[in-house]
Amino acid sequence: MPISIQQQSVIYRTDIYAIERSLESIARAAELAVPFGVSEFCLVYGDSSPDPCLTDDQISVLRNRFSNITIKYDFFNGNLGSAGGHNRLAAAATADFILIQNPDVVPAPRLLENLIAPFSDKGIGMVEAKQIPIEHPKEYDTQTGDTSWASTACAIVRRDTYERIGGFDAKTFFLYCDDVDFSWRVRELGLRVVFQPSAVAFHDKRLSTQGGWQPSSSERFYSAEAALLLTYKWSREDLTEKILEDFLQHGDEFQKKAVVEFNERKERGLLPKQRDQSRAVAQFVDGNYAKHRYAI
Amino acid sequence: MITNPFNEYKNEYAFDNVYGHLIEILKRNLDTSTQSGAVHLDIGCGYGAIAEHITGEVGRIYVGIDANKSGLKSLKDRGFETHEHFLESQEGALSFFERVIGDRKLGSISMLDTLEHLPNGLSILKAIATLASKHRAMVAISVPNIQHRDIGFKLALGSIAYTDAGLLDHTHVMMYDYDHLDRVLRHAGLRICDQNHVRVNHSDQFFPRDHPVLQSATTIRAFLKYIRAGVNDQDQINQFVVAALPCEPITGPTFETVHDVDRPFLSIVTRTQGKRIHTLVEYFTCLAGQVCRDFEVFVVGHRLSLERQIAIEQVIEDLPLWLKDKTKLIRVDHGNRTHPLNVGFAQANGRYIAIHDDDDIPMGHWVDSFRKLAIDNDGALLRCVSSLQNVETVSIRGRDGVRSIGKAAPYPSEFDFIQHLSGNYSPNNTLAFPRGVFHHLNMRFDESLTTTEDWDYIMRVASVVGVASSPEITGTYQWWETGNSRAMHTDNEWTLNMAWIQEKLDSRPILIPAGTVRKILSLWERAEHVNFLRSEIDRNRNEAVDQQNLLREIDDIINSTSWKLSAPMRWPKRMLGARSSRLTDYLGLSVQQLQETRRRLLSSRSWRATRPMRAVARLFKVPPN
Repeated sequence: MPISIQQQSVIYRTDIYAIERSLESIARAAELAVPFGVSEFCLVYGDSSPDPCLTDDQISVLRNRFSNITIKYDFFNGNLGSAGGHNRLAAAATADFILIQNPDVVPAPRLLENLIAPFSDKGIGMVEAKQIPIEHPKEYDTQTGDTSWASTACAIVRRDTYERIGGFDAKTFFLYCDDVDFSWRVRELGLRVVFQPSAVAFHDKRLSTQGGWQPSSSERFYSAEAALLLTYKWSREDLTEKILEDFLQHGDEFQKKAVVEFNERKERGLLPKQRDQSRAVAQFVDGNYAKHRYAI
Repeated sequence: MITNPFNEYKNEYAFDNVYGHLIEILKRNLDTSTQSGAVHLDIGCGYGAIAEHITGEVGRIYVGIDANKSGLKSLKDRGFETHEHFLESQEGALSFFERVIGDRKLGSISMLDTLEHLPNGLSILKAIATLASKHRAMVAISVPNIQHRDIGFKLALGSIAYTDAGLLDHTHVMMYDYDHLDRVLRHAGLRICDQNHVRVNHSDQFFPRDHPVLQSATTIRAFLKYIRAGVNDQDQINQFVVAALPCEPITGPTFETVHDVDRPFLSIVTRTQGKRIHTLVEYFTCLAGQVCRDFEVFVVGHRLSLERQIAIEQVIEDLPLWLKDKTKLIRVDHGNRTHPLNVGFAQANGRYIAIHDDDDIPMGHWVDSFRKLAIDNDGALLRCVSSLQNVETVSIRGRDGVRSIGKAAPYPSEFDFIQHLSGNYSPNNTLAFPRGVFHHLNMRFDESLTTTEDWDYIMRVASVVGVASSPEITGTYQWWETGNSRAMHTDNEWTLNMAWIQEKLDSRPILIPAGTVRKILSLWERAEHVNFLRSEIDRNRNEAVDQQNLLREIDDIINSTSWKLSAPMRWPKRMLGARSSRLTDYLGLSVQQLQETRRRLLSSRSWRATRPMRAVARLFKVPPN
């Protein structure tokens, strides 16, 4: 049965060379997926930058160069964030599957085949690829791939599932944890979120010379804010309070700023509606959203 | 042809000089079983030292040609046919040779130590080749070797001396090494088919005898000898002696045209046995994500079954076109795990060559970090950092993947030569070797090693070109819980290889990088301090034993029966304020103080007075106390 996929990537001041580097591998992956039944592959870029990342000429060149896939470009004329951007792109989708992928991700040649195959199990709602060179340390079942949540650096979901859960919660999450929240809502539907280690995607992450993460200032702020909002939304106000207190007592400037933002939301009644009161879906383990195999 | 007024080249025949070597090479390539009646033409014959041997041992009619009348006269006097000719042009020479041969059959030609005197050497060789081709004759040539180490070592240190004859004869107009000789012969239409070079440890250029690079016990000579001997086997060749046959001449210049070769920055040599195809997929996906694409990849498949070969070919076939075009699979069906590295390095075109095994992971700036490091450190061994991570293979829905099972721990951020003498802290994926060490210095991986061949190579290369380090973490060295190289070889094998590598390093002079002296001094000071502490501990321990023994002796005295019985003798002193002796009074005293106390007790009047009593007690074997 023919399968159609819409890959969507939200770009923000993304270098065209990074886009081309990614596209060369995406086009090859789409080509190799044809015998596997992927008859239609559409790649949509949603541009949240202040000015367009791609000119008409550049888009035209890319379309000619990678003619085996359909390339679309939507300049948002505003920064919708990751969640908002994906929702806007998905709203226009007609494909069977939506592949959410960072614009700089370079897929393995057989990525699509490896991501689609698990959906033969009707109970699976979302499949996540393994990111390399730095694998995410969250735990997954080594027999089934079941995991708490899927990173949307590279993950695929049926369009139907995407629509049933109403897409990403763009009102609450701007840049981080939108995928955690999305995954948990997929699981609320009774569907499984699985990690498929044979599906690999290169995501250009680097380490400090000491071997640790090097988060940018915006990453530090949005991940701090998302931690507060996620714990609140998923009915773990006890953790929210603990994090608030920790940020106030020991936090850096970004974490303290996140506390201010959270309290403002609270005062203005803009906090999300709480869910999962029975704590059946969400996992909060040692400050993470799944058990981790090791600390990075 | 340049003539030499200072030397007539009147040398005797010897089995181990150029004449003997020429006869030997002719004998082993020609049919000497019958007197063929064919002519041997000796061009530039001089005094014809080989003439009798050509006749007697090779079975040819000797004919000598030279411009030197004295040499020709000598030959003529010995009954040989001679012709006087000055070699000037190709046509003139050929025409002269043909006239000399006439209707006779030409069997072989020699030209000994003559070519280097000819300004028009190629033209004369072409004439010889034409003649040889017409008669299907073999040509034997000898020329002095400009690469003899006696010349090279002195030249490297600012010394060169022409002589009246020999390797640097002042009348030489062209210098030859083997490659140049081969190239000139091929341009002339001659192809080398055999070699019988003359080797000498000390050439005529072995002077002045007090030059440090010539004196046998100097460190610098030992170092240069080691490096030079590794490059090729021409370091002790005095004269090249070759046999050649007519062939199609090649065209173009006989000399090298200096130009920059368009090379990729990096050649990546990837060993694989095709056992973990899923890791090869991950590796190539990371290569597809490199920000710097100035590289080529040689996948060296070692002892592949057909099934595994097909699987690897499929991985390469799947790659995006730009990467597929840069990637080549080389099959190697013999040798141990080290052999594929030599094969891969030999193929490499890059300015640098890196080893990246099929189960490790490069980060997006892996190539680019080497490129950046090379900008200011061109030619040095480049070293970035890798982190070590434990991994395993998992299979979900029948598809294999890699699962990390531990935190990645970075290796040291800087290459420390001294530290690396004790072991390897630089996995393969952290290094890029300058191509020159392999392609110009001929430094190859030691195939006698079954493990740690990379460490051995790193140290040998580092000790010649030095190392430039970057603290950037650019890759992950994946450690498999099962099927790792540690488990595939016995502990004994690892230990033996380690000992062999260290022995090799210790057996010859090596260059150490700037800054190492201070490190060695620091280690020396640390060792001295440790030795001092150790001696202090020993001294204190010995002192404590002495103190204990002395206290025991004092205790024996002051608790003895005789001491107690003689107490009244000490009362007067006590009345004057002296205390009776108690052991606790002596605790904490030094060895010296305790010795003094013992001496005082033993020499006291009361102890001396009771000596007979102790003697009696000993007689009756009563315990003395």
